[in-house]
Amino acid sequence: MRREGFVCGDRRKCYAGPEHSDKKRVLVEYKLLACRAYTGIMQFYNIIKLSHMNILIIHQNFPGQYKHLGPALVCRGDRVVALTPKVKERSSWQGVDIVPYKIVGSSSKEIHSWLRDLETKVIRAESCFNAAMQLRDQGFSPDVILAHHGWGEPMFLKDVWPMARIGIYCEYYYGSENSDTAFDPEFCKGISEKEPIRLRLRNLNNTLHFDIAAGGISPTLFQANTFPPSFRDKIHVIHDGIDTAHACPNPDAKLVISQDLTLSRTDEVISFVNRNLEPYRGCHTFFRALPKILRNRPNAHIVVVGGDGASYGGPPPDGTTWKQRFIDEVRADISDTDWQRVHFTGLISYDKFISLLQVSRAHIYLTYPFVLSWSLLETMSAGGAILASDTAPVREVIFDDETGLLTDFFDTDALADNLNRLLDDAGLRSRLGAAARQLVLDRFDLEKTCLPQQLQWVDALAQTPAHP
Amino acid sequence: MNILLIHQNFPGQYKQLGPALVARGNRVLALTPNVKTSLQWQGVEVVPYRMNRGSSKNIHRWLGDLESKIIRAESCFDAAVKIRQFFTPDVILAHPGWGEPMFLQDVWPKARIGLYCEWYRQESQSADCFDPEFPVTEQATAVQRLRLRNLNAALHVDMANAGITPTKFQLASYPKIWRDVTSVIHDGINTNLVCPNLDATLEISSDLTLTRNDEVISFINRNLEPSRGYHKFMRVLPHLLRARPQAQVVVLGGDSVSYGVAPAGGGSWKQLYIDEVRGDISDADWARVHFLGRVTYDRFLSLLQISRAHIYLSYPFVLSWSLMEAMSAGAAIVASDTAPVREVMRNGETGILVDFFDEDALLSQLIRLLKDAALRARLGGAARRQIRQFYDLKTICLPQQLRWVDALGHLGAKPALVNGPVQM
Repeated sequence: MRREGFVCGDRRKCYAGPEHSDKKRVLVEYKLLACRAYTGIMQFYNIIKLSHMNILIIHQNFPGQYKHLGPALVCRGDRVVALTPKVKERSSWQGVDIVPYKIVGSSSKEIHSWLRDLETKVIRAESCFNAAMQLRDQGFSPDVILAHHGWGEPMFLKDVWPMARIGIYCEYYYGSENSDTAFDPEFCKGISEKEPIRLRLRNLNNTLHFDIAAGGISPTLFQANTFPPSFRDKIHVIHDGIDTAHACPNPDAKLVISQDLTLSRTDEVISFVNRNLEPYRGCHTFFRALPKILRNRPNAHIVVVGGDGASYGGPPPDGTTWKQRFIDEVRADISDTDWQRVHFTGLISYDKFISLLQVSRAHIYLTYPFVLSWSLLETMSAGGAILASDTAPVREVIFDDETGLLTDFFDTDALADNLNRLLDDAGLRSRLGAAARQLVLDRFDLEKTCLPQQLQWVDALAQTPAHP
Repeated sequence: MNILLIHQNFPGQYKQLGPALVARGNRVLALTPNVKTSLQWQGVEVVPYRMNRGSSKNIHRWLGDLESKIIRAESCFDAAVKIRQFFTPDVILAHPGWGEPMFLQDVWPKARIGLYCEWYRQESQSADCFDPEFPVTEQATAVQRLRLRNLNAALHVDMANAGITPTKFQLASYPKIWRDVTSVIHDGINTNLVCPNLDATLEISSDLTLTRNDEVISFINRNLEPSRGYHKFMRVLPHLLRARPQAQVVVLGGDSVSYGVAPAGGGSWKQLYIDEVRGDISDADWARVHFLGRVTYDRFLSLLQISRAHIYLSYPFVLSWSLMEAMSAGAAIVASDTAPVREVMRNGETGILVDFFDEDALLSQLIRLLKDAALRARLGGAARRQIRQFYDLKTICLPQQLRWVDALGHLGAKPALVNGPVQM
């Protein structure tokens, strides 16, 4: 069978796989040296121009989304401080001064359930406020505060530094029109008439931050558009960025499934990847298509990555897992020999995940109208041939028959049929995969596109008028 | 029209409007936890409901206020869902101060909702830092508490089609998003009831009944506290009693606190300032000071009618009805020159305004007023005319309120809330 795939644009930077580990080490050292030299020059420059900024980063799980932006700000000469409850001791990480604080207080048990969410955020916010007051009293005054407000921490920081411009990471506004709420009729039954109220109160944390934020950043248009018009205008859509050098095609990739089975690009590998296997990510549609897929593709190996929990939308009501529930539903329709070709890996390391993308002949990605998984963009970056649900967040990057194939989220027959079409046509797969990688290179490349855009956004934020 | 009234202490501000809507043929239903069983009140069907639960004890101290409102709102929502089976309001009139109407657009998406806008507490508001004697001693984090309290208003603003507020001063406390949809219409003063009465008498004790022949000085508040200038009044009292040896001073008001905080050292504001000035007042003079506590409305009216000089002092805060009722009764008034008072009273025309903090001016203007019957007659007459012209319940305010309700009924429906009802 012919080997398929695309050669990484810049092989020197492509350090995926064990055979590249030396190159990776050299590259990392080179980058560090370059950064230090750049920092030195910038610091000298700044002594003359005094143009560097003080930047405060707030993330409960630092670095989180600031993994690349934080060091990049340091690199260009800004002073960067991070406040986070994640560490115990003050430390330096890639030039970022990490200041720890403790969350003081705990949620009250008998609180009204609609306010439980807000209370945890107010508790975190008060702790962060107190830590910020100390930082202020030590003389630190940020020009810009970059904060992920999803857990509430930045809520009161404008009271500490009224002149600081706050840029918030706008991940999601619950319950907006045409989003995940009530998308799937199968799981809508029995939703209380009070559900919209619960979501509205859950958004209070968002609302409280609109008043203090000078601007926002969302990784995708879909996420930005969930926000109400009053704040939507202040949100810039800039993705976190994909390391396209890492997530790249590799014709030699292998994935060890068991002692007896190692998959490579010569195998017909179908991949389905999620953090957790759950309806939000279409596991029910996927499982229901499995019997037909296995019958259609007698040589295919199906690799299913994902945990047993529920990241979004809660667990099934009967105490089992979504995974087990849908296996039980379809297992009788699948022969024991066919079932041998379905491999559940659970959660795997990032390297194994990349290897899976690289050996995958067809990748299935399904989602409710909800936050897009990074895995889809990483699959595209790896040049994967993708069959994805025709839902709003997906349509932002997958154009039907250009960068992948789109299929109705609920239609299991169509899923199996489209998969057949993709697996039967190497030319189609190659065309879609190449276009998918090109789209990610053009729009989502960390170094070339996203990081420069993020830095520009930070600079623009600093230029917005102060509203004490 | 079908009209639903929501007030935790019904009828509250709808005491006049509710029956007026019934009188013109509207079906009016009120939902309130204020009664135990369904009843008819002046043609209004009053439907009770209960709170689903109580507040939680160990809640974060900044969220206790919001939780009490969410509990009331959910209870009201549940009650509304029940009456939805037989009642569909075109217009909902509601006081949002305790949270009840918060989720009613979810029950009746097409109903027009008009909210009673009493007061919006802003950060660093004039009333909070008005009096240097009582600096804001709360920690810096008080503003955070306030911001979370104001989520109650934020949760109402998207569903409100219009607002109504009694005074321009109260309107000004609100953010622009509220002001843009809110009309200034006063609740109205019943000037036929609250009118001068030459024959009025007020029995103070078995030995003492006061009439217009006595030099009666009145000071009236719901509670005796600094936000209504009680401390200023008390500090003038020793000098006033000495200057006016025939005067009888009648003080109405309770011992607790309606606005602001209780005294730091415990006890009541009332006793605190009695203790402060009592040493300066002889026992004979003190016998001419009468603290009546809280009294019936009839006795309150009688006091206004026999009062020769009425004192009204207030921080820049919601104006007391009692001032406008005193004006309606034709009383001669010395009042503080603060914004809410200035809205209804012009110095030298409908009363005398003095600086809130200037005790000497308060004393001298009171003495001037007590000495000058013609001035009293002129100011009292003008004050009553002012109230009848602009704030009369029957001829001015109630018609305005009814027109406001009609306009509300004709407004376009509000768009569904950002996360509106689940569409299935």
